[in-house]
Parts: sequence; structure tokens; C-alpha cells
Amino acid sequence: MASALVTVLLGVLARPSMPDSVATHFGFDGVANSWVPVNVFWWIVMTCSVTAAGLALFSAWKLSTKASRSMWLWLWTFFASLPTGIAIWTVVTQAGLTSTQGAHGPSVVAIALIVGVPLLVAALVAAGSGGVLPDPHPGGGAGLGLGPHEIASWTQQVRVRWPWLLVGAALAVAVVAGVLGYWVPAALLVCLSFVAMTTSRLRVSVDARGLITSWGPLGWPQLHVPLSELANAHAEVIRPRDWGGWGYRGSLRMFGKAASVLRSGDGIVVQRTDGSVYAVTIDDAHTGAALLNDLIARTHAQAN
Amino acid sequence: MLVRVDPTSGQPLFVQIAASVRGSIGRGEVGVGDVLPTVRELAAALGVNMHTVRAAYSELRDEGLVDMRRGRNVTVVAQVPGEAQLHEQIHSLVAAARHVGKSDSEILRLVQEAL
Repeated sequence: MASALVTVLLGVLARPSMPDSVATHFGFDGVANSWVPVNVFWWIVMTCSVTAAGLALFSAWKLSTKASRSMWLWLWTFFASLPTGIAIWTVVTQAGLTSTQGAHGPSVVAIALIVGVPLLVAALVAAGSGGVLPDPHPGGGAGLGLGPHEIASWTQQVRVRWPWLLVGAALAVAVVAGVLGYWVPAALLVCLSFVAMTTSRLRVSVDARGLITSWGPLGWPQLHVPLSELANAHAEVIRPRDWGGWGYRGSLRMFGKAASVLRSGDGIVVQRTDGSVYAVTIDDAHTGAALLNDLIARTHAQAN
Repeated sequence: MLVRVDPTSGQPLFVQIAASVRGSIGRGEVGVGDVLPTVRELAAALGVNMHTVRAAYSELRDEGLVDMRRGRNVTVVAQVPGEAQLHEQIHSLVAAARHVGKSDSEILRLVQEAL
């Protein structure tokens, strides 16, 4: 909200010193190649900022679960403060200029600040909203009845096909771009196809090492939660909208809530001893959660 | 796929691992075409020697249940046939009998009585 206010104030105060047209788009060489009238520029940044701030307030008041509230609050705060960052940068570099014909684009440091500061602000707001505490939890589910000397391991994987379409398309376009000499977009598309590839498969294993989630054919990135850090586990139907969407959502460190979501449906939800919650979508989640509970009980019994 | 073994049961570990995997295939928890954990992965997960897991998978390969391609990827190639299912049932019968304290000769006598 404060960020939207800053944008509006900036608009009112800086308006007289701004040139008639503002450079808004820059080529790869860093020279401006697109301009808009200054009034249009202010209306766009103010509208974006104020709308996002309104949505952030709406999220803070209306969303029922704490965790989804902090997730949306984070998103909207980011989108409210990003226009502020852009506006501040534009004022700093273009105020007082009579012509923005040869205006230069933001340096790498400026881009990092324009995007980084709103990210930080959003993270602080979300963390400070009380959203760090996960929703009250019903406690762990049943165990599997593992014998005192028994060793057990459970592995399961979920595959989806559509990321391969994205990988194929991105690589095809990358090859074309590469042939035409557009190296930067080609490299970005290759990176994109790699990211898409990792979302094609999710593998979960539960054993004496704890809960391990690994993505993609390479098994990377990987998330490992040792048994000693786990409090309980249960199986639950995962709805992506409760966990912030698909992919790896949230952050255990920042929000105390994270999820690896590949599809909607069955999943394992674990609570860590620090109270944070992690969920992963997987088939036969009941077996995995039950084994986790047995292994957790054994680990805690050994520790005492 | 759930693999359960009990090192105190007296049965070789590789036999127990094979039985566990066979059971998963038999119950349809893993189907034809599914990729099983690699020897290395399963050995690390269970905290047992890689040779033990390899021996278990080799037994399943000899039964025609799995295929070990390039010694790495282990793929299910066949549903448990009657024979293999029987093996699994005999294994669990023996395990159950030992669990309640029957000696090997007692188990043989009980089976003979049932024949």
C-alpha cells in the first residue's frame, strides 16, 4: 500500500520536471527504442501499482488460510512495488531531460535493484503478515506397523507428458534463433527447456534417510528432509490452488510452507519439528506417509 | 514400491528383497514398463550392500520379471506368473511360520500334513 502511495506521490511531485515523452523500452544495445507520453506512463504505473496493492489488501483480509494468504500477499506486494521501482528509476534517470531520444537503458545493477528491492519488500511483508505460521494441523496419520528390526524403503514417481512438448518447442525455436544469430534468446530458450524438463517427473523416496523429493530425469533439484527434522506425516488430496500453484511453491525458510506440485490429487504432507509444512504430490501417498510415521517414531524413540 | 526386510529373520536379505519386489509386482503396485529404483538407489535406501540388491534383482531377472538394462535401469517386463506368485506365497508362509516359532522340520511336517 505504501508502495502504491509512493508511486502516486512520485507521479504528482515529479510530473513537472519530467520530459513530455518517457523512454520505456530499450534495445539490446541499451539505447531507447520506444517512448510513451509521460501522462500515459504515469497512468500505467499508478494503475498497476494501486490495483496490485488493492489485491494485496484483499488477500490479507479475505483469504482464509494463513499460508495461501502469505503466498498471495507476497505476489501482489511484488507487483505493487515493481512499478514503484520502475517509476523511481525512470524519474532518477530521465527527470530534467529535454529529450529522451538517446536515453540509455538500465544497467545490470539498476535492473537488479528494480527487481530485487520489490522482491525483498514482498518477502518481508509476507513474512511479517503472520503467514509464516502454517495452518493448524490435524497431526500425523497412522503407521504401517513396522517391526522393531525391520528395514523399509518406499519409492514412487509421478510423470507428466506435457513438459516434453514445451521442451521440444523451446529447443526447436532455440535452434532457429541460434542459426539466425540470436545467441542470447537461443541460450535463454535452452535454459527454459531444461527447466521444463525437470518438471516432467517427480520421484519421492521414504527410508531411513528421511523424505527425499527429486525432480526430472536427472533427479535434480532435490529436496531432502531428514527424519530427525520431521514431526509427522499424513496423506491428503493436494489442490494446487491451496499451495500456490504448480512446480516448487513457497519456501520452507521464508514462509514455513512449501510444496512440490506436479499434478492435483494424492500427496504426502509432512510437518517438520520447527512447525513448517512441506507437501509433495505422489501416488499411493498413504503408504509413504504411513512408513514415514513409523520411521519418525523410531528416530524419536532412539533420540530419547 | 514398498520394500520391507528384516535382518533378524534368518532369511538371506537378498531373498527378502526379491520377495518384497515380487510381491509389489504381484499385487499390481508396479506394472509392466515401470522403472524400479536402481541397484545403487535401493542399496542406499535400505542401507544394505549393493551386491545384496544386485543378487535380488538377478533372481527376479532369472524369473523373467525384470530386465536390467546396461546394469543400471531396472524395468518390470512381466506380470508375476503363477509360478513366481507361488514362490512368493511359499516364502511368506515360511516367514509366517518362523515368526510364530516353528522350526524348519515342524514347518515341513505341517506342509506334508496339508498335502
